[in-house]
Amino acid sequence: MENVFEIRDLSSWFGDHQVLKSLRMDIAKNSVTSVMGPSGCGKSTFIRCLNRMHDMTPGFRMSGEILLDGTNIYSEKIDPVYLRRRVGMVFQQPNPFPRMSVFENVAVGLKLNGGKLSRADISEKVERSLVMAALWNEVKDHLRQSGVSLSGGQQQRLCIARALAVEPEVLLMDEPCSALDPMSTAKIEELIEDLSEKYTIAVVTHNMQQAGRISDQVAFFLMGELIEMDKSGKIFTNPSDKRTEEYITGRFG
Amino acid sequence: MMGTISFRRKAADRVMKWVFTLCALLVVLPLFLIFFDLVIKGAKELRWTLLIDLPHPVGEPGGGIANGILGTVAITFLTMTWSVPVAVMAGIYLAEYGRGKLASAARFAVDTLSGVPSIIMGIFSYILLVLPMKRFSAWAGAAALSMIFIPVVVRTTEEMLRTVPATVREAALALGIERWKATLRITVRTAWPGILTGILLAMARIIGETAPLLFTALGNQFWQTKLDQPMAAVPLQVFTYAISPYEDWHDKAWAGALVLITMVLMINIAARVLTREKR
Amino acid sequence: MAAQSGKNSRDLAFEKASAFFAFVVLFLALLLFAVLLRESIPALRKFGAAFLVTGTWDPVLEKFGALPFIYGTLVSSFLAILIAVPLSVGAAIFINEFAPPWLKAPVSLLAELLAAIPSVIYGLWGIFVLVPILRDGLMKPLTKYLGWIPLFKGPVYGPSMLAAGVLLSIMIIPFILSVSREVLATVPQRQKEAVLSLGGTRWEMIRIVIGQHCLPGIFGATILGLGRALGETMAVTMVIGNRPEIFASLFQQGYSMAAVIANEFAEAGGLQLSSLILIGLLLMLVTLVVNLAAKGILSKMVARASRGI
Repeated sequence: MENVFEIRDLSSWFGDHQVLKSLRMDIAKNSVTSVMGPSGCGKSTFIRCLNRMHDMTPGFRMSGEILLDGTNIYSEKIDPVYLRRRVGMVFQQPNPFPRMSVFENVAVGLKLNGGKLSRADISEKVERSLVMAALWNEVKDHLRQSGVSLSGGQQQRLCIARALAVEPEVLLMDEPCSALDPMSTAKIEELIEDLSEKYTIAVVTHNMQQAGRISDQVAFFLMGELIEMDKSGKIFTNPSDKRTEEYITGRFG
Repeated sequence: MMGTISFRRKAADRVMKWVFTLCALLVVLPLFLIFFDLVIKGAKELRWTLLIDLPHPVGEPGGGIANGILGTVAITFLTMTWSVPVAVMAGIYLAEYGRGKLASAARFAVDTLSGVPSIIMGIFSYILLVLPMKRFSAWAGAAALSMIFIPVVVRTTEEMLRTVPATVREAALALGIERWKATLRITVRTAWPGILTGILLAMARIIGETAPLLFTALGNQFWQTKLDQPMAAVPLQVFTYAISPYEDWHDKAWAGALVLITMVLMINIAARVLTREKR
Repeated sequence: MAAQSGKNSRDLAFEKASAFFAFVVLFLALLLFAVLLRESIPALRKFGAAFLVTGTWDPVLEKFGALPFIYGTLVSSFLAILIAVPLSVGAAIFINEFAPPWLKAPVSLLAELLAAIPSVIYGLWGIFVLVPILRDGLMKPLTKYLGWIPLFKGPVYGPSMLAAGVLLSIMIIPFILSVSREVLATVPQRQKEAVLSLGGTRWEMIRIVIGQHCLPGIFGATILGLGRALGETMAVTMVIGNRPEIFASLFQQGYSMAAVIANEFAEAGGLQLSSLILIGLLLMLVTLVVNLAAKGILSKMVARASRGI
């Protein structure tokens, strides 16, 4: 199976404090990879390295390589703006742009990315994205309504549609369901399964059952290190590392 | 024994309550008096002709402040033409990039300028524009007013941009939008009602300013549209009429004041309606 | 190092452009000082520090001294503070502590409206309404019975230091009021409740808790109001009488720094102009110091409040 991301020896620091330690992992194409671990283990920091979100953080330093389709995303050749169109992100708190309608929220990535698309093209892409995000039926008659007037779960699906509209290859999700109710969470988990046919997805989660439900591969982080990464079935029934087993059985959280 | 103390304390409490109530009444009383006088006295001379006619010589009845209205509009518009872009861009810099020495110095400069009496801005414009040009002009008036307008709008723009949550900027960045586009088309757009309110309130303020115009725009008795000549303005006319020795000019002063306060209030109300709409 | 976010050519151009405008603002502030300083040098050189304490203002003999104007500015402003602060603090206490909820918003709105009224309109009202009321209702009677006290000496014409002080106080009340309200709001609810639950009356609670907690903030509001009063021009010149002399009596006319600039600037030249500009420079420096002091006090208070003191 082809790898989309190959992470080699990734370490990172905020100032003098080291957050990630010599990570090495592969993320396969069209797979769903969960990244789990206790608070502070570096999983959010890790995922934000994959789309260079830390560029804006003062004091951030990294070493090692992150190869996207063979090219190091931190090399001089790569334009971070372009990178982020290929690697999209959905955040923990749904954050649709205030003062923009549902339609405008999904379209904004298209409009501001420099492409000269006709209004018809944009409408079509907006509809397609909302369909893929399983939100179209609920909002198709309310496209001009404000994005923030939707419910929490709908807002998160709107953010997913917004990310999908720029047609990325990879979708990074940082605890996408932790601010949502169980029903919305279930809807989004179903959505992730469907999306994995077309996209490569990496999900940070602190919910082990969720990791078990949705992923092909699970990576377990502890204090900035990748302890173990394997098929989700194996990780939860027969983990190789004792620390993984202790985390899964709830010895620490 | 206990009873007496209780009575004294209760009495003190009741008296102080009325003292505070009285303070509140005294504070709002002038407002009612002023508005009452403005309406009653201003209405005396208030006819359509006031808004359309030019000032008549002393003794001749009628006449109006049309040139002043035009002048106020022209000078205000002129001021805002360059002041709005400068102030908003400076505000954007302070909010979005504002961590270095330039930002600290600029912020201090804004705070300083905000506290300078408006007549000093008139002196500034006089030295820089009136003296070299050897004449009073609308330009000079606008220059003085912009020194009042700009600090206010820089401050409100920066404040409003800071209220935009970091999550908005983060989401924009994650979509692969260039930072400058994200700043203008998303962050500023989100804060826009607040920024516009700040601009309108600053506009209402400079419309009412008299001191900076006293020796820059100077005022003008006639209809005048050239920007490099002295120009009339409603506050200047109110002042001139008020301190004159002529009774009928005093009436005109009240009428002009009524027109002026109407303009100021309308803009204030527009500004507040805008903030409400945001919700 | 890898290409940085926010640093492509368009992003850099935008950052530089906005930085330029910030620099423009900084430049204007510096230019203001520089220009005022340069134009006051002739007067500075001629009169030196004596300018501050000399009372002559003679365009013919070209002898200028700013003392009457400094005196007028200070006296009218302090008088304004004397009247405005108790009233504003009292009204603030009323709004925050006694007013029913439905009354709070309208009263605040009214105070805000007071702040929006242009200075020249205050002056207009001052000339034709306030001055006659003060003259006939207060000054004439007081002169009649207490005129032997220097403060109340006549003759009474109307325009006076008192009129300026009263008018100024009305104008600065909205500012002191709004800051006072903010200051009062920083008192933790539990401290107020503690006094009340011990059997204290409302007034005692206010006196104890607010008195201890809010004095620095109220002081800051006072200084802020002072800064505004010092710079007021139109309203003052319309009711103060514009007479460059110093009298002990509040009922006599006076002059202020801003007022003399307003009245004489347009036709002044040479040394007189330089003297007027020097007065402007002095006024600017004084208001600057006062405003900075106010901000310093108030921001310290905000910091204390956010730490929960």
